Amino acid sequence: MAQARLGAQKPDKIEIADYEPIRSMRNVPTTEYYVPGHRTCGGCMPALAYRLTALAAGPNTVFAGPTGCMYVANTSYLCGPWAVPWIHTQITNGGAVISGIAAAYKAMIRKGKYDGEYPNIICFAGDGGSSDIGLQALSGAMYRNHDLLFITYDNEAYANTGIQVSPMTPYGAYTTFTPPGKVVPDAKPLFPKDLLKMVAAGHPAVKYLATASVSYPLDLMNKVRKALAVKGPTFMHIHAPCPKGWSFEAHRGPEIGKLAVETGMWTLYEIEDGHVKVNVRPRKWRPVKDYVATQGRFSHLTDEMIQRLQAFVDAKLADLGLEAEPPTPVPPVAG
Amino acid sequence: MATQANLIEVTIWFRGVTEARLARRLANAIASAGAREGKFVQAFDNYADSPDRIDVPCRSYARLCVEPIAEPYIYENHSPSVVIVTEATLLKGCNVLKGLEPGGVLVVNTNRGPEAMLALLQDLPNLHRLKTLATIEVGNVALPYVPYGAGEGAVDTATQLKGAPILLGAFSRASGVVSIESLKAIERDHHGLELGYNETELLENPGYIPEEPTVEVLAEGYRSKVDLVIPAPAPGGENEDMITGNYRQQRPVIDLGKCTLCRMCWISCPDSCIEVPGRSGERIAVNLKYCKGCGVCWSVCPVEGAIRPEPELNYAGDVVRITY
Ligand SMILES: Cc1ncc(C[n+]2csc(CCOP(=O)(O)OP(=O)(O)O)c2C)c(N)n1
Ligand code: SF4
Ligand SMILES: [Mg+2]
Repeated sequence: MAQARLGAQKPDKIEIADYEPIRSMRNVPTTEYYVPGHRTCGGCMPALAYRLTALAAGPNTVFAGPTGCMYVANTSYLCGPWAVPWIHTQITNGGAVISGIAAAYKAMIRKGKYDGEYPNIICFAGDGGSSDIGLQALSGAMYRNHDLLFITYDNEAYANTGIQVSPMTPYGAYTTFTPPGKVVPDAKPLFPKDLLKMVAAGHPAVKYLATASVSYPLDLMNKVRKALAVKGPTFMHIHAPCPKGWSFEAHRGPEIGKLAVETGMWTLYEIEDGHVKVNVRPRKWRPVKDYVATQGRFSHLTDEMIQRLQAFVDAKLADLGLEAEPPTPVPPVAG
Repeated sequence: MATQANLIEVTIWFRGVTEARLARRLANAIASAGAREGKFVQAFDNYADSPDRIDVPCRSYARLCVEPIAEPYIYENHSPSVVIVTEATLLKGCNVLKGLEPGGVLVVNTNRGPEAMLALLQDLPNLHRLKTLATIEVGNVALPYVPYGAGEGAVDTATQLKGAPILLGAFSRASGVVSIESLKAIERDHHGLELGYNETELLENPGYIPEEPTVEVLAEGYRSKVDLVIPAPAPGGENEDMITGNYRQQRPVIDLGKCTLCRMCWISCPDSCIEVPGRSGERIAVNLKYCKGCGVCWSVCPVEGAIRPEPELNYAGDVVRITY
C-alpha cells in the first residue's frame, strides 16, 4: 500500500460497519432507483454514474442535486427519474442542503418523530458545483461531522450551460470560455485543482474518500456502499466522460473512461482513515497522447503541449507513489 | 395559424448537438436570402429545446415577411408553412407537422424517397394540409456524430455543415420561399445548392385536402403539463413523462445465440434500457421505449456480433411519438 501523503495520518484502519461488497456482476442489485426517462445526452456518463450510485445505495436514500446537467436534464419539463426522494439545491449550496437534511433526520429520530432508519443522504454535484462555486458548502458539510456522502460527478466543465471552463477542466482542453487562439494556443492554460486532496487534507471529520470511474462500475458501486457504511461525512469523486463537452462519439464513454485510468489522467484510489489504497494500477502506463487523441476538445494540441500534459500526469502519479510500486495486472473493466 | 397573414414561418427539426450548427446555418441562410429579396426576417432557436442534448429532437426557426414582423416571439414558430427535417428518423418520433399551414411543404433529408416518408406521417392530424413532400439525400448528416457543436462557437471541422447547401437547394425548389439565386449570394457551395435543387424528389398532394375537413385537434404532449404535484416513478419503473425513444437513429439488436449474458451492456447503459431478463420472458431485451440508440451497449459488448446496431427506419413502430 502506498504511504499516504494525503489527509490526516491515523495508525489504525477504521471499521466499516455493515458494508456489503458486490463481488461479481451477478451480485449487482437489479432494482433501479434512477429509472429510464431523462433528457440527458445519448451516451451521457454522468447519468450512468447516477444510475450506478442509486443501484448501490438502494431504497433508503435521499438525493440532493445542485444545478447542473444532472438537475436540469433529469428534471426537464416537470418530472424526474428518481424513485427515491430527491431535492434540487442551488449550484452553490448542495453541501448546506444535505447538512440540513442530515441534521433534521438526526433530530427527528432523537425526538421520536421519525421511526424509520436513518437514510443514505447523498449530494450528487457537478464539478462546478463542488470544486468551484459550491466549494464553501462542500467544505462546511465535510467539516461538521454530519453523516452524509458528497459525490462529485466530474465531467470536467460547466456542461449544462454550454461547456464553460471549470477548475476541473484539464490543461489544454477546449471549452467555450477557453477557445484556442493566437494568444493562448493551448486553450485552457491552467492545470486542474486536486479536489480529493483538498477535501482530505483539510477536513479531519472525513474518514473515507474515494475516486471512481463509470468505466469500473463494480468498483464504483462498492465505494458508494463503503462510503455510506462509514459514519460521518464521506466524499467521492467520480470521473464521468461527457460526449457533448469533450467532443467524442456518444458510444465511446466507457472506453474513454478506461483510457483515462490507463494513461494516468485519472487514478482510482481510496483513502480509509488516512491510508491510501490504489485500486487499479496498470502494468505499464499508456501515453497521455492516446487519451488526447480520442477527444475533439484536444484536437488543437501540439506535441509540445501534450508533453506538458504528460509531465503533469507523471508528477501526479509520482505523488501517489505509483511508479515505485511493483506492477500488477489491470483488472477487467467490470472491476 | 399565424396572426400575421403575410408571415412565412420555416421550422427546422434536427438532432441536438450533432446537427445544431447545421440547423442554425440553414435558418440563418434562409433568413439572409430572404433579406436579400427585401423581406423582413428573423432566425432563432427554440427556447424550450435548450440546452440541447446529443440526439434529442430540437427545432430552429426562420421567419420572412413582406412587411415588418409583428408576430410575437413566444419561444417557437406556431404555424410553419415549410418544415425541414435534417434526419429522417425524426419523422417517427415527433409531430413534425404540428401547426402546419394549409398547403404546407415538408423537406426531408433521406435516401428512402418521399413514399417511405409519407408512410411515417399517417397518424399526424395535419397530414391533410401537406401540399408538397420533398426528399433529398444529403448523406447521414448526424453519423458518425462527432459532436463538434459542443456549445456555441465550438471548434468545427465543417464536416457536418457540408449538407447545408444541398438541403437549402431542395428547400428552394420545394417551397419557392427564396430563390436559388438569393441563396447563391449567401452560400459559396453553388454546386451543392444546384444539386439539392435538381435532385430533390417531389411528391405533390400526398394527403392534401383543400378544405379543412374538421377542426384541427392537436394531441397534447407532456410539455403542456403544469401540475405541481408529480408522482415519482416506482422503483424499477419508468419516468413516463420523459419518453426518450425518439432520440434513436440506430437500434441495438441482440443475437441471443451469441449473447453470453455477461451483463456488460446492462451495467453500462446510462438509460437502464437493457433488461435481464426481458419483460416478455426473453433472457435479455432492450427497452425500445426509452433507448436513445447511443451505442454504448454495442461498444462494450465483448462478443463479436452479439449486439449490433440496425437503422431504426428498417423497423415499423416501437417509437412513442412525442407531440411536444
Ligand atoms: C449561482 C449560479 N450561477 C450560475 C448558474 C448557471 N448554471 C446552471 S448549470 C451550470 C453549470 C454547472 O456545472 P457543473 O456543476 O459542473 O455541472 P454540469 O452541468 O457540468 O453537470 C451553471 C453555470 C446557476 N444556476 N447559478
Ligand atoms: S452535456 Fe455532458 S453531462 Fe450534460 S447531459 Fe450531455 S453528456 Fe451528460
Ligand atoms: Mg460539470
